Amino acid sequence: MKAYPRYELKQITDLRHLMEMRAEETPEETAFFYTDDRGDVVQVSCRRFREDVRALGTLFISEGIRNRHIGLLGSNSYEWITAFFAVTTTGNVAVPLDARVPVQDLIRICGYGDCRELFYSKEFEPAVPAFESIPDFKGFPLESIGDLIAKGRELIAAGDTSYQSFRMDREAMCALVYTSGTTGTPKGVMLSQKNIAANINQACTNFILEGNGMSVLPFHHMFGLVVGVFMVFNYRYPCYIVRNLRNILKDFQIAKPECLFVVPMVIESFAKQFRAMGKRSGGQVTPEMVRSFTGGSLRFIICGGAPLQASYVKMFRAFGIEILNGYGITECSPVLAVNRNEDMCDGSVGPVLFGCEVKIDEDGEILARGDNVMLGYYKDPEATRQAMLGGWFHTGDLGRIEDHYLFITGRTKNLIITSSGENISPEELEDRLLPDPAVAEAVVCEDGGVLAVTIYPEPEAGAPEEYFTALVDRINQGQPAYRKIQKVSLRTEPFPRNSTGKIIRKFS
Amino acid sequence: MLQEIIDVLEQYTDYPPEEINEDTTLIEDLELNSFDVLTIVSDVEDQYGVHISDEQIMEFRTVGDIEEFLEKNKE
Repeated sequence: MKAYPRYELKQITDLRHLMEMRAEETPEETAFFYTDDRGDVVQVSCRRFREDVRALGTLFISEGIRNRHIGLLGSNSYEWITAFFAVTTTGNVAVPLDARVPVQDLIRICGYGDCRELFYSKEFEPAVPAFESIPDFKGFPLESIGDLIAKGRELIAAGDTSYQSFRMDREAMCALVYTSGTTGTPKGVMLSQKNIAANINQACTNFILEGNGMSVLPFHHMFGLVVGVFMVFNYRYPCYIVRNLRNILKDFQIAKPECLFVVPMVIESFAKQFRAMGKRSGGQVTPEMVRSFTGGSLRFIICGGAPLQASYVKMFRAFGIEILNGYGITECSPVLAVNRNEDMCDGSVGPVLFGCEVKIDEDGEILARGDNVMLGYYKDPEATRQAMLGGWFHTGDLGRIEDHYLFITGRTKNLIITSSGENISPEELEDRLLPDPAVAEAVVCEDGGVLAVTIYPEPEAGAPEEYFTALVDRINQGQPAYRKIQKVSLRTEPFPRNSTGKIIRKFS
Repeated sequence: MLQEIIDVLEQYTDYPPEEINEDTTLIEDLELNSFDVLTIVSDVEDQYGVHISDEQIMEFRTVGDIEEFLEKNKE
């Protein structure tokens, strides 16, 4: 192992500390920038960000908003980040929600998470009346957050210092993040300010950013939020917020990122766009074309959320871009390991972060311990107990450590991980099919990058093949693309089962 | 119009262009992901001066779905 010291950045204790530190050290430097609906580039300084968060936080405190679970539903925006900071630094809990899932599922998650208030972006306005089935529900459009901030500013101007003097409990839950459970019921991961700050400190010592960051992933994913936004902010570089992926080429030209934080799907898609560029130019894509496409400064892409095919690492290296694979899980806030700027090993997810302990148990499972490990699963002590056996968090992933690099080799949990980093519980989808009287058994699995279902039809129902295709089309309706079943096949015999009566899924 | 859509799609995939038709599925046959579809449809959108919402894009399953939408909505 070569001598390669960790990077030294000032340690933060919580997100308020991070925000205050940046506003004190570099008040006029850009914290965030983005392109608004009119196509104008908006820059937000560290000072202005602090003023906005302080104002919104002051309003929350003056209105007695405390110990509330507040949903955040919307596409990536500056307003979303402001709301997250204000909620989580005033004794409230942010519940980031996946804007792509059907409204009924969101309402269900709000129910599990005791979430009665919601910040939503304008595209969700039509869905808001459905949330009114939640008792005492209140919704606030994120686009109108400026009005709330203005009220908070008035309070501060009149001498209200309650936000600055508020004593935050760093060890209490500040974010409740839902992930797919293996039983079909989503699990609420409880994270504290201490967890998130610890992970920012740990990850920033493994990798160093030396230019702009560009946030591409949705903020409801901890990788997209903690790594793609908070870490960049902590590195003291501007973070460009991509508000809609369809404008990515224009965004690259404005953001000129040195590093991107993405899931494999984004890299696969870039590779196709590079290839299309080559075809349009009548030849092969060149490093110059890629450099021009990506804004001229891109050196690193940190990739996590799902395994990436090794061929992409070599392809991008030839273009002068180093892909650094990493590994994390929401329960660890989220990063556990990442390849370093000058210490990388192809096929691995890099060295484990400084300050975080990882070991492999006798069954090959990756276990983690450290300040970044979650408080537990919300209202689910049994799941928490099982996940934290022996004081170590059990990731459900299998791995090995070789020459200080972590390699992921498989999974113990029955979850499908898509290239967009989404965790899908096959049982959750199967449970939607099984109530149909024509379906005796159904097994959902991943096949060639898409979701596929194999159905054993109820012999007495005698439904034709088209019946099942139509059934799958119906359950796909309203689902985000990554949760749509794309392939349907039938089998003539029941699935084989193990000694406890469970279907042996590998036969699917 | 179908040929123009195929010309765009062909740049992004290994699928033989002569075998792409209205019934070809974007994700299963052409092995595109949702981000690819978003990018490609944005290309086509510029070409035809039509705005296609993200929600509509996610509903496209086949090449024919894109053609049908553009035929109905082109300027």
